[in-house]
Amino acid sequence: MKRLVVLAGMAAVLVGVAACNSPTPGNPTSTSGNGQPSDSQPASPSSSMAGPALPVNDPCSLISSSDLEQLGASSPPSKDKVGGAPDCSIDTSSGNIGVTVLAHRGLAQLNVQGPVTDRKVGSHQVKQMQYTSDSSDCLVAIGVTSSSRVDVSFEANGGVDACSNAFKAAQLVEPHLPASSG
Amino acid sequence: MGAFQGISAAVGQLTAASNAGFTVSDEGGQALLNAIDTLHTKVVGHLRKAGELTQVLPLGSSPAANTYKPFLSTIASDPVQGAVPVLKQLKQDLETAHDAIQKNMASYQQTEQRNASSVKSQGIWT
Repeated sequence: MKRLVVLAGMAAVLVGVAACNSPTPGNPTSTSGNGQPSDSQPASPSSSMAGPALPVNDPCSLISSSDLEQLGASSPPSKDKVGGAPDCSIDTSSGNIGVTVLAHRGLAQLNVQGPVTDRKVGSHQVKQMQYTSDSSDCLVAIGVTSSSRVDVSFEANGGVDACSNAFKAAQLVEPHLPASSG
Repeated sequence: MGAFQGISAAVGQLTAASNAGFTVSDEGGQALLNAIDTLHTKVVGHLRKAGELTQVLPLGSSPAANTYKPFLSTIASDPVQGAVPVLKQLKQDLETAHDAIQKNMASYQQTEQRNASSVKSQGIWT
């Protein structure tokens, strides 16, 4: 009787261990506090439209060495994060350029803080905006899908035209982006 | 913020000095320019990121967005507590200091050339 109890117990343990080892399928994603997926995750086909994912692990891959030369880069670009979003920072003789990948925020989610101009670069719709009234900064947001975009931002040194520099940088970044599907 | 006000005051004094004929040698001036330009580059980069931060942080009407909104507004615009206005002023001060140092270096060169011409004309140095 005692042997039966021991055998039954061992069988129960073996069944329990097997159950724990069975993987439960799932798709874990990190989230920011508001329940939205963070911008450090690639734009998945289920949340955005068709097209390859944006380079969230290497935002500096959106700008080539010849592009850097055209922009007057004074040092190699540096990879960073801005509020969790992958960012490539480029120091130039006329200011600082940023290429930021927003994998879960499209043009419609642009936080409007100044006058916005709708333009087109290559096959992509863009929105151009200045943050402050001193005209030393400019943002060119390039739409990729309806829920993802790449922001090309520029902070100018004194006397430099911010928006013409930001737009020039956006024209160099755009060919490296997936075709627009938003 | 007191440190930044000190920098603004120092830049004002530097500008006044250069207007009054203060000069600095190439070597000394270049050392100052290198330090000013290094800081200026960093400040410009931070300003650019501060602007982009307002695009990346959650917005709309979610609970997180409603928590962030008043702080973003303060960072962007508050003249006393806001980081952006202070950085903008620092950037401008550094650009003014850069121009003043360059002017001082040019004044030094002009003074040196005048002195050299004077010495030559007196036959002291041929």
